[in-house]
Amino acid sequence: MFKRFLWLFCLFAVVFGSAVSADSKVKFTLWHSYVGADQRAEFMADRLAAFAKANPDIVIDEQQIPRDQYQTKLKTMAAAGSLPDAFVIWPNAMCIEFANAGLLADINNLLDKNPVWKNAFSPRALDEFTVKGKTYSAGLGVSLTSVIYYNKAIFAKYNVKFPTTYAELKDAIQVFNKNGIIPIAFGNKPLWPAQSTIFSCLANRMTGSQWLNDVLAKKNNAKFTDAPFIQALNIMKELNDLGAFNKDYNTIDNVQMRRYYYKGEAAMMIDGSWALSDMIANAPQSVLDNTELAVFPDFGGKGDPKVMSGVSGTGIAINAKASPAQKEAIGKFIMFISGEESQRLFPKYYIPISFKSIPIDRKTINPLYAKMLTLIEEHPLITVYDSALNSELTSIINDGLQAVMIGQAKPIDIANQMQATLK
Amino acid sequence: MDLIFKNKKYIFLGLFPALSLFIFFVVYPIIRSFFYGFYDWNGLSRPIYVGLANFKAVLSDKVFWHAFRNNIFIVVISVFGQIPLGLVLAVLLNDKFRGAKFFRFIFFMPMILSTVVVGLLWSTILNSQVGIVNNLLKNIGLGSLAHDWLGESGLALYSVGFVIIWQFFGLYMIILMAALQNIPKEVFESAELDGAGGLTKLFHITLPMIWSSIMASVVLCIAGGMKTFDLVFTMTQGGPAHSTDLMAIYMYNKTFETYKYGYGSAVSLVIFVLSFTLIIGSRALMSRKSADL
Repeated sequence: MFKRFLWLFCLFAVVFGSAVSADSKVKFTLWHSYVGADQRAEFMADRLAAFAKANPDIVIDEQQIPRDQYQTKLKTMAAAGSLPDAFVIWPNAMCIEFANAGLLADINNLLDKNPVWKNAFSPRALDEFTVKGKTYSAGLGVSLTSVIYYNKAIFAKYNVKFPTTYAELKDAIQVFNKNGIIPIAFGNKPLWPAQSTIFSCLANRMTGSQWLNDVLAKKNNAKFTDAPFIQALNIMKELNDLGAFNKDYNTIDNVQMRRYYYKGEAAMMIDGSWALSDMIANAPQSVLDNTELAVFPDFGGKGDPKVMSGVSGTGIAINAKASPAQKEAIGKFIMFISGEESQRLFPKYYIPISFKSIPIDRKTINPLYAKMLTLIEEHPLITVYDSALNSELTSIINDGLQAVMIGQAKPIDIANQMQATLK
Repeated sequence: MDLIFKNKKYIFLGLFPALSLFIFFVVYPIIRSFFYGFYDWNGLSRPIYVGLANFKAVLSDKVFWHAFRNNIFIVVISVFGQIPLGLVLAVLLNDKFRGAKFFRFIFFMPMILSTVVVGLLWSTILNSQVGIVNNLLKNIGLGSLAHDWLGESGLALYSVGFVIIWQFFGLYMIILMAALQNIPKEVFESAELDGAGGLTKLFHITLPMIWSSIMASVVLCIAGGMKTFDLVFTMTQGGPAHSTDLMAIYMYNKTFETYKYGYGSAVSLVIFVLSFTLIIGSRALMSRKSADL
């Protein structure tokens, strides 16, 4: 009896299995983090629908995972050897880690076959996904990580000028605190915001751009224990002690913090370019009308006070284990989602474009998005710490910044720990 | 029935499905993870054998021992907070009076809520700006007592500990209440005839008779306290600056945030040894105590 069942089962499996393989549709799984409060959530939904319509022979099995959990889940899948066929990766450090482990298929062929597409990108969008001459993805937009959004009505009300130096910033913080206004809305519960949105730019103001490269390459005797880096950590502590942030910044996240700014309770907010779509959707018109965008003040260090931190947006990469048919289908999707038609949609979702030139009529777009485009034109980008550092160093600096800010650790201890890990 | 028990083949056949699942999904992964403890592995590239280096690093990491101390703190407040509280409520609510059922339900309710819900609920209640606690304090003129309950490194662990007690005391209330109801009434009646008062009855009849349930509760408390993760993780993620770090959170962060899978496996082995020792030790201690009584 049992044996007969087994045979029947096998027969079914064969029939069913061959039915699937006879189907001419190509199917691939796609993991991405464009969901919820992410500015690319709607963009992705729009593009996936358009792609499905244009390519009825390709079926995408989509998995949306919020950003804070995304990397953990993906790397766990990588450890288990069962990565999805296509997935979103971050530029630089993460791309290098994955590429060196042989987990990614490159898109060099695709780029070479489509020179118009390739040459339209601003260099950052491809360079930051290139390891040893092989390119693994194309960045979807650009992420500025350290934008100061400020409410000029609040500044005017208390007769404060937007700070261009550290001394002016300290004065502004004092005036706002005296009047019961939160100087800077901030949320650091996930730990990366302090590093990504404040420290990356602040440290660059102190150390200059070459220093971090030198430290990581162990060149020119540069070390994490160097004075300018320690100085930057000290400033983080000073900002905390001055009361620059809302008191509960360690218990709320970087989305919850926006509430203070939207309600007009905070004069400034430090966040990435990704906050713009949420702001336009949720802040009252009075706050939107008075919002200006700016870069960090001059902290008097070695760095160029004009720069701001930013990286290429994340991009979609191909699993090295995907079948040739899947690789071709995913390549098509990468071209589709980063191509001109999609880039033209970026302004609609307030994402800075990653093509060199898409004609944008400044008069028809949202004024805040226009201000962001101006900001990008006027301020060169420097790298973000968690993009340049490996996961272990990133974790030390993320943890360390919080410990330093609340006085649980000394800057020199964090610096020593980072330097020791580097060896 | 006897026939079946005599034939070992059928016993094995009956156990086989559950046993094979258990071995495949529990025993095998645990053994595998012990082996990974001896490797340096980031999950992406090939594991490298490093001998005892991971274990040495775990045992000499101050943050780990800090997390261990926090676990012990949680165990202590669980054992000396949840069990006495559960016992008192069980004794009170064991008497039949109007509303006893209502209170039993109310006190047990935190147990049925999902831990994530409890975590988010209390994060909001304890929030320094919009939380009920601080607003209440401000409204009754005690604004100076308002704190950032989860954001101050000296306070966060106590706040978390309070929530842990709040969530689980209902469980021990139910366990002990069940034990209370198993005490035969005749024992109390004869004690009353001999002139025993309320306290005498409590200490000389009730407690000794439910001692095995209390012991089981203590073991549950220790095991629960050593493996606590979800509630604290949703409330503070071990922060600020490791002040509410627990061993399980430490392991999670090392494994899934810094991607040191080998190191994480070593941590889990150390946690296993520590927890096991604590439970065995406590059982030995408690059984001696019950012999004294």
